[in-house]
Amino acid sequence: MSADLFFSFESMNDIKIIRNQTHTEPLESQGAPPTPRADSNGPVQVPEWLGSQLKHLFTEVMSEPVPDDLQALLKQLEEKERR
Amino acid sequence: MSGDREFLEQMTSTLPALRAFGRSLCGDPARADDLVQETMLKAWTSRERFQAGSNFKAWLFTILRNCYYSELRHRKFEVEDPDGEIAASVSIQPEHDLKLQVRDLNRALQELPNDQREALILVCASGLSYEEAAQICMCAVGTIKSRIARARDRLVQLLGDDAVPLGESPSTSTEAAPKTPAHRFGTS
Repeated sequence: MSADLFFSFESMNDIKIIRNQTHTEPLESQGAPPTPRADSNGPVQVPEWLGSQLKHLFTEVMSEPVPDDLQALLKQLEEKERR
Repeated sequence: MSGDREFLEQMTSTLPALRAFGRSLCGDPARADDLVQETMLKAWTSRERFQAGSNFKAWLFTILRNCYYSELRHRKFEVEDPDGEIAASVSIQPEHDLKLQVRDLNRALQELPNDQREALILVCASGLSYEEAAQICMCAVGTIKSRIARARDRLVQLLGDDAVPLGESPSTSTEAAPKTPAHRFGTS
């Protein structure tokens, strides 16, 4: 098991050396601020404003009427299906 | 054949989401609908390959995605848009602040690399699970999450505090995603 060294200092006279004994020990336990990151165990944090805008962008398009050419193609395929 | 009828019914009901995905990928309404048309034809000719009961939406999205990348490779699909004319042609009327923000978001999305944009759209906009998005993009779930994280960071950088809705303080702009089942992203 390798040791990873992390250090942080709050002032020039206050340097703390923190030894991380495992690869997987999160930085948060060392006093560092939480960092949103992608990992295999949970969802990716996305700001609420961004998530809602993405959904709105998507639903805006979904609410548009289907264009005539796509409607026509569907009808053609339906006629083929009936034969 | 009743199977074909059901297939067409499914395709009809998925069409709006398919159009939205295509629009998100290429940013241009006309080209997106061309992609959708090509997808519909390919899906119809390949309908025998679709396994009944499996995820029809993911299957259609995969076909559309493949069409998009095929055009990128063979027809140089991407068009330089230094003046933002194509991005500005997205049909969103600036009736109120939210729509202005959405238009800016659409432009910002086109700034992202393709793989980041599609991952973000599939999970955060269309509501697919990480697993479904990974299946469509033919990569690992962890890769999807990494792409989403990078896309998020880039969009936050591009859009900044201007995108925070009126009435919200900047301190709420980094709220964690609401609790959802571990495999799925999306607000209720």
